[in-house]
Amino acid sequence: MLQLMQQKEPSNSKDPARWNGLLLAVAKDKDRAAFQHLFEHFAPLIKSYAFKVTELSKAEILAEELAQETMIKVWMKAHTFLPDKSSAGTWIFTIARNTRIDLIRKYSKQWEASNNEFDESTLTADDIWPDQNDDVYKQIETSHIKKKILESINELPLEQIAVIKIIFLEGLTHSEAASQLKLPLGTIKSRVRLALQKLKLSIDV
Amino acid sequence: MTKYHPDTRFISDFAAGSLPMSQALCVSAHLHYCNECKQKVVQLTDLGSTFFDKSTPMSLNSDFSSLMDRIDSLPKEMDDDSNVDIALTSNVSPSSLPSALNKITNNSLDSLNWRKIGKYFSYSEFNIGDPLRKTSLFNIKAGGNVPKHVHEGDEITVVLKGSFSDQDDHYQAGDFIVRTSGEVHTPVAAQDEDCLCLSTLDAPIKMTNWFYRLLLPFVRRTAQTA
Repeated sequence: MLQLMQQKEPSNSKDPARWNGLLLAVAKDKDRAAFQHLFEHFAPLIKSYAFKVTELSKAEILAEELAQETMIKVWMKAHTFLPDKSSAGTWIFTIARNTRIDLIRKYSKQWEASNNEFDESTLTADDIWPDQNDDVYKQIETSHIKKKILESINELPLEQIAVIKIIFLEGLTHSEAASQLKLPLGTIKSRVRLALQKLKLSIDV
Repeated sequence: MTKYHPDTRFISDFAAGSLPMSQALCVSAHLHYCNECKQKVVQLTDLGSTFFDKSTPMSLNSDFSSLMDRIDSLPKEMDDDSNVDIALTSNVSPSSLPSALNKITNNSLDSLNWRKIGKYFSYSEFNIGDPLRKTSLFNIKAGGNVPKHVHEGDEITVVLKGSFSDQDDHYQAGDFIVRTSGEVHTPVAAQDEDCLCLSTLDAPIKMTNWFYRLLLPFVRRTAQTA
């Protein structure tokens, strides 16, 4: 069975619906073979996502830990995944994002200085950043958004792609991106705005 | 109707997960009242995940079986994480403060340690592990005002209940108001209802402790002007 699925992989690997199916199999049956496919695809992406947090000296350890912790959460929370609200890829990305926020906080000097215990009463990323949009969109609309993004992403000028990547993958704020790129904050803001306009996201800019 | 929204910069830093905790708390409080901005966050999260999908993978040092060993060694109740559903739906209660604030206040505003300044103004500060900013809830009694004050750092205020006015406008539940350093204003709560707000104020880093404590989250000059 497992081998059969692996053979199929090349033709199906770009199909987002496939990830949904695998995630649902994990949710319903704790299907380990399905989970292994998700792990093999997403864990290396998550590690790369974590590794982009450049200011940490422990990047390698942190990245490895983030990939593992995120996949553990995917396993444990699979039954809360709602395929009509989100795609598996976006859902896993938001779990990685939230896990990265909390890991960075745990490792940060600021947190140590605040003398707090990281316990159940601590506000975590999940309290602030929902891992699934509740009622605003149906999956059909989000897949439409993703399609629009994919259609026009290649038309973006490189300097806009660079800024979008820094903000969405490397986890820098607009101001941090400005100082890293040695550009005025206004330039960063306008590059993001221009990119969002080009991608035709319905965001007032 | 919410009139003041976080700008694209706040919304995209929020969706990317890089906004400092205290400011992210303010954005999430705003989202509680504003579906329009929620939709923007969803779109920007999709944008982030598109770039995530296209990024270059890095191979792991550990393999799948060691991950499953870790999972199998977890306590059973953690494996079946049914609490998650409750957390996801808990913000439908009619009292309806944003859910993160329910956690901070332990579902009871009275349980907080409130400090009063003057007749109308009280605030309660809490530590969410962001030492660069002061984050607090504040309450202005119906018809009461906050003494005139100058902002020393950038401040975000989100109205949670009731409404207040200053020289510029009238602000209602959900409004996300950014004040930059040096702006002077005198908020007055509406006559008929107390006004509860969430606020976070940038605090300069290089402050000595005694000075830090003097810098109240919302009113600094009260002592002199009252």
